[in-house]
Order: sequence, then structure tokens, then C-alpha cells
Amino acid sequence: MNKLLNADFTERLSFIADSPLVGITLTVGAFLLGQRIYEKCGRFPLLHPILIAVLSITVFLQLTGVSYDNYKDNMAIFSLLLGTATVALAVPLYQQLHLIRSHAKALLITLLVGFLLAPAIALAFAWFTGASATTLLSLAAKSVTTPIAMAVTESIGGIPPLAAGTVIFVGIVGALVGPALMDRMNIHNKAVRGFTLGLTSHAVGTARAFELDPVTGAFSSLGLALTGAITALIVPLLWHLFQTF
Amino acid sequence: MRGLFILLLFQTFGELGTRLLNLPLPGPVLGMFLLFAYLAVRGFVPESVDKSSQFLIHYLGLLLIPAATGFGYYLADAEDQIIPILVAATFGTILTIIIVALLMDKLIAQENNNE
Repeated sequence: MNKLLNADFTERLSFIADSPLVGITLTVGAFLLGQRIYEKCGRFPLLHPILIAVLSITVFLQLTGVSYDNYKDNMAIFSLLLGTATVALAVPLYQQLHLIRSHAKALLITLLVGFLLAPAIALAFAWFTGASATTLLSLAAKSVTTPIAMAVTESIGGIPPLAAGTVIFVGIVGALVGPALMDRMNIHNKAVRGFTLGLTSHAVGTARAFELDPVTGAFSSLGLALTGAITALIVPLLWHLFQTF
Repeated sequence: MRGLFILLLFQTFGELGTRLLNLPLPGPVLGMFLLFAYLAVRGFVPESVDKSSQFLIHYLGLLLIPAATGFGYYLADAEDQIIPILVAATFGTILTIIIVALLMDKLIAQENNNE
């Protein structure tokens, strides 16, 4: 009797695993919950909405026994729209371009150095602490905003969720310590503070920069967009060259 | 709706372009460059495109959640990779912020001295 009831119950609940409706509802709900907690706790970066959403979804999947692959397949529409959002990044890049004129030389030199330095430092730390080849490949593109990092990682054979998770984690670290660190270093120029946050901490850092003030935010989104554009162009080309040798 | 159509159109161009030309670039990234070129040629951002792009970028965090959820599952399967990833992400970020901020601050100070 008990067994029969269980089988029937499981059958009915398989709807949870099979339907994109449940997956999308769950994801949007988890995001709203994350935003609410984040706002309630004074926008403390460690309680970032994405972090809370990811944790709630993981708990839900574990409780219902739905596999991650199943959930991911149901959320295919999100990866498609993530591509659309990547295309949309052309708009802020175009709109912030005028900011370059104010400090053209400083911005371009910092961009070139930072774009090479950020992954090099991350890869060095990872290599010294025993990262595998796949991890290193996934970290290679981690120094850019997440949608670009995921697309680039996929094209060079890394693991996109690993790149995505790392970029968000990096963003949280940068948003948490970046402004305080620059205060200590006596760096108060808004162009420097914003561009550094955007270049190193991407979307999460840029959100933090806009909380500080609009000028810092604008330079941060310029840093985010330029770093993303240059990495998206150069990393796959480098990888392509590397493979042909 | 017109803005969303234009974004989807450039995403399609990007996917088609990378496949037809066999480019080692992700489709959406080529789409981003093509849209940038289109905006540069037009000389302004049409309001519909601006609105749709602001909407999508505003909800970027939401769109990233499924992928970010995979991070924990990946780490659970590859426990020996947790320390390298967390060390690289934490100390790598702090060191990069220090160097990048110092460099740009010096460059701007230099620019101001030259004026």
C-alpha cells in the first residue's frame, strides 16, 4: 500500500523535473528572494542575490532529487537570452566610449596591462595550488564579464559553469574589498576607482561602483565592456593559434 | 519589441557569421561587435534598442543563475580543484586590483603633470 502510494506520488512529481515551467518559476522566485535579502541586509556584497538564488535552487534540487543536468536542460531559454544580453553589451560600450577621450592614454595602457595581468595572476595562483588543465582553461577567460567568459570558455574547451561561478565569485571579492583597498591606498580619483572595479570585478563590481556614485559607475561599465570586448576577441584567437602549433 | 528584434537579429548574424566564416569566436560576441559597428555607423542608439538592452543587462544576474548553480555541482565533483579556484579568485583579484589601481593612478598623475 505504502509502496503503491509512493510510486504514484513520484510519478505525479516527475512534472517538477520535466517542465521548464517549474525551473523558470523556481529561478525567478529564487532571484527575487535573493534581491529581497540583499536589500534588507544593506546590500552587503557577501549576500549577493545571485549567491542566495544559487543556494536556494541547489537546496530545492537536492530536496526534490532533480539532477542539475535536468534543471539546466529546462533552462535552455536562459542561455539563449544570455547570448542576447551579450549582444546588448554593445550599447553601453558605445555610450561610454566618449569617456575614453578624457584619459585616453591612461585608460588604454591600463586596459592592456590589466587584461593580460588579471588572468596571468589568477592562472599563476591556480597553477601553484594544483589546478587541473580543465580548471586552468576555464579560468583563462574568467577575467571578463560572465556571459562573455562563458561563451569564450565553451569555445576553448573549458567548463562554462566553472567560468561563470568564478567570475561571480571574483566580482563579489572585488566589490567587497576593492573600494576599501583603494581608500587605504589613498586612491580617490573616480576614473581610477571605477575603471579598476569594472576591469577586475565586472558586473558585480560595476553594480557596486554605481552605488558609490554615477561617475565611478560609468568608468566601471567602460572597464567592464572594454575588457570583455578585448578578451572575447583575443583569447579564442590565441587559443586557435596555440592549437595550430 | 523592435529593440529586442534588432538584438536577436544581430545575435543571429553573429551565430551565422562565426559558422560561415569558421571564426574561432563565440556567436554572441561577434553579434556584439556587429551591433557596435551598426551603432557607430548610425551615430546614435535608437531608443528601442537602448530600452531592450537596458532591460536585458538589468536582468543579466537572473540569466546567469542556471550556469552559476552548476559551479557548486562542478566543485562537488572535483574537490581537489576547490582550493586552486578559490585561492586564484580571492588573492588573484586582490593583487590585480592593487596593481591596476596603482598603475592607472600613476598614469593619470603623469598626464596632469604634463599639462
